[in-house]
Amino acid sequence: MKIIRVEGDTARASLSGLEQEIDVRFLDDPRPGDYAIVHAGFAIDKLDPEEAKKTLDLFRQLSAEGLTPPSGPLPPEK
Amino acid sequence: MKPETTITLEAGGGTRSGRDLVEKTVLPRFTNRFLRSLPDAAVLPPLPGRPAFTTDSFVVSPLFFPGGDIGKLAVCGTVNDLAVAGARPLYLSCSLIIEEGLPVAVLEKVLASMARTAGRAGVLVVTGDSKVVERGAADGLYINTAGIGEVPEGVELSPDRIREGDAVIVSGPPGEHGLAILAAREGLAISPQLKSDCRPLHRLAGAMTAAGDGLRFMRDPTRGGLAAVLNELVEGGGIGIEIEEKLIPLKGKHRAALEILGLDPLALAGEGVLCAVAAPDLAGELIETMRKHPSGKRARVIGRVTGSPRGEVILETAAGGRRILDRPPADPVPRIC
Amino acid sequence: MNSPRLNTANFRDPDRAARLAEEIRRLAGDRPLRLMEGCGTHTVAIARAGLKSLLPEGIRLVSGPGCPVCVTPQETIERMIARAKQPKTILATFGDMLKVPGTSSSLREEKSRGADVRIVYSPLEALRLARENPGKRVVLPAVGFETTQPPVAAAVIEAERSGLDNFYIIPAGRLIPPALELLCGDPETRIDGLICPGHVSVIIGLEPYRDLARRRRVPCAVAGFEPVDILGAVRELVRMAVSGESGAVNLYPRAVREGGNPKARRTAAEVFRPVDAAWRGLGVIPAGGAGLRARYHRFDIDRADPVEIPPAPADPACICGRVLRGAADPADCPLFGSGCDPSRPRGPCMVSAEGACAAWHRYGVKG
Repeated sequence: MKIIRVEGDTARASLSGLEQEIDVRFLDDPRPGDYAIVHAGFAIDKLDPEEAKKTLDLFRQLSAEGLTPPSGPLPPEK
Repeated sequence: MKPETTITLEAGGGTRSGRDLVEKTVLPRFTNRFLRSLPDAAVLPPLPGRPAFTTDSFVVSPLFFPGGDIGKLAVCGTVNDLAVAGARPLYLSCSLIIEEGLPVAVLEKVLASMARTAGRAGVLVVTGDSKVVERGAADGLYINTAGIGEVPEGVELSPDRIREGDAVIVSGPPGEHGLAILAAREGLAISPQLKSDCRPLHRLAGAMTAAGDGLRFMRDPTRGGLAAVLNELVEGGGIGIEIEEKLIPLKGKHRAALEILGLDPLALAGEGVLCAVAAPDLAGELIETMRKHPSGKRARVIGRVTGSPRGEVILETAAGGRRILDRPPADPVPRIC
Repeated sequence: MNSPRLNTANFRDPDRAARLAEEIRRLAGDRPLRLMEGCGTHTVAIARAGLKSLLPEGIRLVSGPGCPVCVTPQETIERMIARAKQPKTILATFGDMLKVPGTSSSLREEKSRGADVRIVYSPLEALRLARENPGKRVVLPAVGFETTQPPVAAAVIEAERSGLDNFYIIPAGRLIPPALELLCGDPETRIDGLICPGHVSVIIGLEPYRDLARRRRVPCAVAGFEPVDILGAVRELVRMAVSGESGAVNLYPRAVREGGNPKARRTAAEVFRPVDAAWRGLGVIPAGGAGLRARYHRFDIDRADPVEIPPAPADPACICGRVLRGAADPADCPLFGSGCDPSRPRGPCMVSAEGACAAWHRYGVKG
């Protein structure tokens, strides 16, 4: 959900125009425009659109490589 | 303070308070020549076409919900049952089962809504009854409506007429009534409120039957949703149905609510959509006709009738997967209508 | 302010899904592999999107112990029902718990008999009920994994701070990594890779899986819940399994940070500590549960007001225990669809929307 307004530990968040009140005490510096993952009424962390793009790129890149997989596990760290 | 603001058990029988309830609260809402002398049965003029006759009981909880109430629902539900049978709805009955203690104001509000809906739909409430039961024997108010309509010459709608290759059509987003009831009942703190789609569909259905002989079948997917209707059609084993998830019209807010709640719109009831099966060469024209009506603006072909696998409804998911669309096992939302 | 948009549609894109599926097919060849989805939300997403139809025969996705309601032992269920029956008590529960059958009734049945059972979405709603009903006590069955424990802990801390003396919980939280560890060593489960739970990982981060991968030599991939997320994870697990690698990869970096969410973990750790705990189907798992720390014991309803719970025999025909260990598929159960369905569930896997049996039943998965 996308955060619209923050007031202390609570925030209004919206998904496709549908709004809900969520608790944001577990977020670092929540701001309007941030995307949050919501569980049991709490934002448990932010969602990072840049990382989303990277994941899609990674899947595409893996596909392009076809049968020659990268050696070793994917680097998880940034 | 008004002295008598709730309905008592005594108002149930043929007593003075019973007569009072009918004459002061019920009758003024539904004035027509058939009701005037309160006969035991309404005597109606002959119908030019074949009569269609249906009945339905309404036990929805809560009585008032965003987009409607039990009264509006009781009229729309029966009007729509007639409409999808190809009939022009004409007359309704209205039978009230009232739990002792129901505020008179609540009953008045429901009856006003019934009258308004019936008036707009152009149907007359020509007979009725009311009973009061003790506390706990009902939940506020139940309504039964029966309806009589007339099927025009040449209109033949039946699942037996469905053929391989036919188009499966919906008139709008499925499941909005069920979703609204669920949200209202559980006090979900979401805004704006999600509204029920409850509305009469007979004008839309009338235009569809007039569009041509290629219209095979119509049904309004209420309990069990679209999944139940489609499964009923394939149950005989003669045909299969394949639908595509990406073609199913959904509004953004409803889609979001479905996602948050983890609900499947195909298993939820609508009260303002219908599902139709039509010959492929009529489908395009039919969709155009439907989109001219306010209740058919989002009409779409969502799939087709297939020859195999027979007896199953297959859903091609938005991600490109395929799975069986089963009849919903349990009502996700009981007492929805 | 111009923040970048998150476009979830890309993670549902059928072309991307088809490409990944094609590649899974090529990488796997005719090798049979068993991959476990460690999270109920994955189970539902897989069934709902029909992802099994996109995978080759040999790739089996088996459900794990990732549905909180399902792994809650029968004894805890009986305890909740017993509490609901008590006078001046509001049982505030997450909705999924309502229909779970006890030996003689369920929360839903008790509710229809007049018990005050309320559905809450957030533990803070239970707290509000306690404030609004000072003459009653409010009991929250604190079922859930690492994702739910921080919210519950936040409610307990608030109750403590505001001196609320009518708010209680039934501590029933469970911790995922010890259960996965156990299953990785289970000869009946036999898994070649783990799709690690997305939301739990948001809290706990990658380290527990690195640890697991190192010790059990199993490939682990943290994944989101969209079809492309899941297929991407399957693709990577297949690649790792085929090439004999193990390790933990984060394929959900838009939500999961390497170190998880320390703020949420600190809140949970303030209130809860790991304790040995019984899981349905898995037995007692060392450090597999979240128990209240001593300074919060007064919020434990079973300490404040102990009740005697008669031993609860499990339904002998129900195989939920084996389903939860990935040792059996829902369709292997003689009751599946005949005698047990979501309208009359015999076991918890058919009750919870996240249960493997319910997901299979709802979305027409035949096995």
